[in-house]
Amino acid sequence: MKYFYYIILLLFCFMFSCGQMPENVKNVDSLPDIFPDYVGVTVPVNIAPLNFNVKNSQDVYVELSGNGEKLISVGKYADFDIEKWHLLTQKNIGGKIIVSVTAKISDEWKKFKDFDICVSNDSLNDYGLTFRMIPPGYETFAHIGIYQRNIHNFDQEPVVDGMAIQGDCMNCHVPNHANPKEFQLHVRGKHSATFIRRNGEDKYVQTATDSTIANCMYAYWHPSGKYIAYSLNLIHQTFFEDTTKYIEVYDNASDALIMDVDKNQLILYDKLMTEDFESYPVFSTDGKTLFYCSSKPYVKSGILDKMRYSLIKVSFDDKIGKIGCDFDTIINAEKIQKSITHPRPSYDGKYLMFCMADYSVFPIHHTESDLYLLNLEDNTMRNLEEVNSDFAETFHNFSSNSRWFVFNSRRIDEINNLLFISNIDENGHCTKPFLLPQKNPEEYYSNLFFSYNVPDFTSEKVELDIRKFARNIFNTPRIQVGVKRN
Amino acid sequence: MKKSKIIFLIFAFLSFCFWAFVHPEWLNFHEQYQLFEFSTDYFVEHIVLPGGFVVWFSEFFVQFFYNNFLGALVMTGCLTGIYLLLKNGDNLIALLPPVLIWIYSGDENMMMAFPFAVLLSLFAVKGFERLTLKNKFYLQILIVPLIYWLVGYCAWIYLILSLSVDNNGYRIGKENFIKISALILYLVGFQFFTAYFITRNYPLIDIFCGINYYRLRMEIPDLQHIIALCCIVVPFIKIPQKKWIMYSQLSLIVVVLVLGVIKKYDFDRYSYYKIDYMVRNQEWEKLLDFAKKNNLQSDFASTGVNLALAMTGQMPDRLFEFNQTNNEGFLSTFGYNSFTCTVTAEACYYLGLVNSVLRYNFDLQAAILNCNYSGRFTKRIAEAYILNGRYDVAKRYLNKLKRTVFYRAWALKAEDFISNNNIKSNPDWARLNNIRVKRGLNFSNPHLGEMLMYFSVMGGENRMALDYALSSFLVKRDLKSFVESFPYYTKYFGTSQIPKIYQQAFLLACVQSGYSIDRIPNFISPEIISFFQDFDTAYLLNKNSKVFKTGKYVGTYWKYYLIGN
Repeated sequence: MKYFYYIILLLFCFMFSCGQMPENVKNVDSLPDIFPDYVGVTVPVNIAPLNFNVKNSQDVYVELSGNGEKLISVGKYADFDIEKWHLLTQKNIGGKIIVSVTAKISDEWKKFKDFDICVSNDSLNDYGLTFRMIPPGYETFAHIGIYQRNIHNFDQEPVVDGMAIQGDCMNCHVPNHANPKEFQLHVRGKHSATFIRRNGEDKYVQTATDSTIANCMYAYWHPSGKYIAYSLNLIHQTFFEDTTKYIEVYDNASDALIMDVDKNQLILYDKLMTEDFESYPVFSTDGKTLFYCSSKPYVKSGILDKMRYSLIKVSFDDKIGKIGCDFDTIINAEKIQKSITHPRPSYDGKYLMFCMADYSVFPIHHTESDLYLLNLEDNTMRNLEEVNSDFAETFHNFSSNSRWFVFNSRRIDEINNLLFISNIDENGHCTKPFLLPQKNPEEYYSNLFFSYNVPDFTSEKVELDIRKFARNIFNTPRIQVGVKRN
Repeated sequence: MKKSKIIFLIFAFLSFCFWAFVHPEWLNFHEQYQLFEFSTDYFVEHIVLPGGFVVWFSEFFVQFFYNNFLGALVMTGCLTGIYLLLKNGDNLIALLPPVLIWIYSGDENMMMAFPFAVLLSLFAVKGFERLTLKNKFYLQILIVPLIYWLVGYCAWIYLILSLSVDNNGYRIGKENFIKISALILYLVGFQFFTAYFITRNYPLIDIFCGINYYRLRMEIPDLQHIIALCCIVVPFIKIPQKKWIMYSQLSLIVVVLVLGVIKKYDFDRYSYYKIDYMVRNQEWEKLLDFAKKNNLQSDFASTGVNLALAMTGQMPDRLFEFNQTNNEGFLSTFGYNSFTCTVTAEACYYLGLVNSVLRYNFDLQAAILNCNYSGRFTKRIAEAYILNGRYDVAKRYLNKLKRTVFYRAWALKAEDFISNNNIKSNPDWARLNNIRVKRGLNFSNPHLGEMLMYFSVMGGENRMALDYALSSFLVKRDLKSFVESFPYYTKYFGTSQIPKIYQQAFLLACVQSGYSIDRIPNFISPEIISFFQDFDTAYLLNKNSKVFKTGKYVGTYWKYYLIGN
């Protein structure tokens, strides 16, 4: 019986042992093949540990070092202690962490060339990210949710989940300058509403009117919180039987307008509701300019691949809620034969980041879609080559200090949109982006059947009583917005 | 053998036959909306919720619904188990809860978690009854929340019954009334605690009435509560052992069962599930017989019938023997639910519209209201990715299927094909790979005929797509498009054996264009021409004649074109 207990004890020791230590190590003159590719990335201090897997390895021994600090991980994958990792990043601000990987592959221990992870001088003090998680589907989503992720560890929780309001679609959680106390989100379906939180007050608004073509859709807050710029889009999809392209999403009509949040009033402007298609309106950081995208309505003649959106700006007087007459086409789509979408100004007012694709208002399905940066001071633009890939990059947004941005990319598998974060310095140079860290990245991402969508930073955790929200979605009468022509 | 035992055996036999032979589609329906995985993550995903264990437990058993006989055994086992645990002597009233569950099951949104929760709660009562400890009551402080956590709201059955039972049977006296009241308050408190601190993302009604007892959230039917109440009340009922009382009970139960099943398993709804079941199992001839016998008239039925006709090569001969509607009867537009396009998704698969297979199955899966995965849809998604050459993504879905009992073998085989880059050794995939169009095809339901014509012309030889295209023109009474497209048919298949319906349609087009008999193409047989002349005479004589409803002209294209279905 005594031996039996010893065997059990031994088995337990074996089960909970932390992995093997390397022996008979062979030096290899190449970088390790790791997932995610964190080689040479730049991270903010106190980011969640950049755990990684070494492809085809049985065991790994990873040593991180920098500025006298050391951190070791031994096991099936590189899994770092959060507190020690944070300490390591704190000690190496503005410097580099050297990553030394030894992995057991095909029963042989191999020591690869070291690589660096840079720790930026720029902090990222926001709590984390908000985003929608959406299963692959085209016309319906029972399990859809808006989630928040603490980027300093691995905690993720729903802001509101499809479980609470079953069968209804949710989209576009849009905070004002990463402020969780001021945001809006739409619920679509039977219980359609636009939920707006401002000044501690929640309201459920019905934005469809007789004077407008659709519900309010893509949103952007005025920095004062008094207004939200919206586009109204009649969205359609066409499906292909090609082996490479499955879908094209386009508008059959679209307009832009501004909502006066306090008065629950849509302000309509003839110049933003023309025969052309206006979309993605956003305010500049000082609130004095409205940027939006506009295309000639070629789709009405059945020509989808000519739908190219120009970037236009016009002045906005936030005191009286009026736009000016000074419409200025900043980037002419016809001229460059490209389509500009998703403009997002940095909160320091210096830049405007946008997507550029060959055509389309919805670049997410366009592999050629790349991120571009427009310098608002000298109106020069450039392709963010250091960030882009051969696959679609879309839905970007800045951190509250404008030194980091998050974006969607399909570069991992071409199918799912995953989140990447990159550092942007004051001259507009970006660093190699890193995939949103996960505890066990390979396991997490290879079992992920959802896409990330519409990410944004949130300075603090979003507090929303889900049950109350659901109750109100089902029961509360909607505030019908009024209309004012300007 | 005692009469009650005979009745029990008859009940078990009827139950087995009901699911194995009368309504196997019910088993199919439940199985196709879940994917039970043998993995720790899958278990943990469930166990973190109150009642999550019973959902996991029921899904484990529901996976056996893949096979009719195993499924029927599971159902019979569950119902007879409930009966045996409630049985008190020869009392037949204990059959009432399983009979009510049987009736309730006709509501396809009842999840098997509910009957299994009842079963496990009653089982726990028996277990508690056997405990020989002195102060068993205090143990309930631990057991009651545990049972609630495991089985959800059916813990109420356990709570009341376990505190009411003693050596003399079930009774509520003064002493246990206080105990029951105290524990009721305790359980309610625990439920509130759970609701506000653990499961904030779920509506309160789910916490109190069972997460995943019913597929639709917040719409739990009263019958569920009645059944739970019956399970609590039945053990207390003491009925004298008299023959007439026993027969009265039996008659009552039989009447309740028969009427309940007729009402809940209504033919129209279940005919849809039957069609879907037959399509899934490729029982084409059976489906055609079923549709013919019952004169089914709906887009959904037409989709199934037309697929069966095409799969058996009978489409151009028998198309108008069945009710035809419009393009929706060939490939339906998505219905924003997880069922109405199941057959369309299969039709797309056999037609070779690979991206549509992917799209329909993604949408069907995304529309499953309790957010489950489906083995059936996941399998098709994996296949579509394989056919698109996206092996890496397909592997993700295959890995999921590999963790199951019934899809594992298929997934391993598929993995083998793609590892060896040899998908053409799978005959279905080889065929689909040959016939598919690689570029330039938009899916368009309003222009289904044109789309499928393009598909059959630009892709490899695809008789099925060609039949679908020509048939859709005929159903739309678009003879112009039919005639324009017909040369493609003769190009591939010659003019020696033109199907009956096509000859009829072509003849009608000729007649409408004012062709004289001698100008009619010679691939139209003299029999067809003479038959048309008969038809024409009869039609001119009296188009409302009975002969068009039941006579020899039924099933002809002329009748459909001029008179309708």
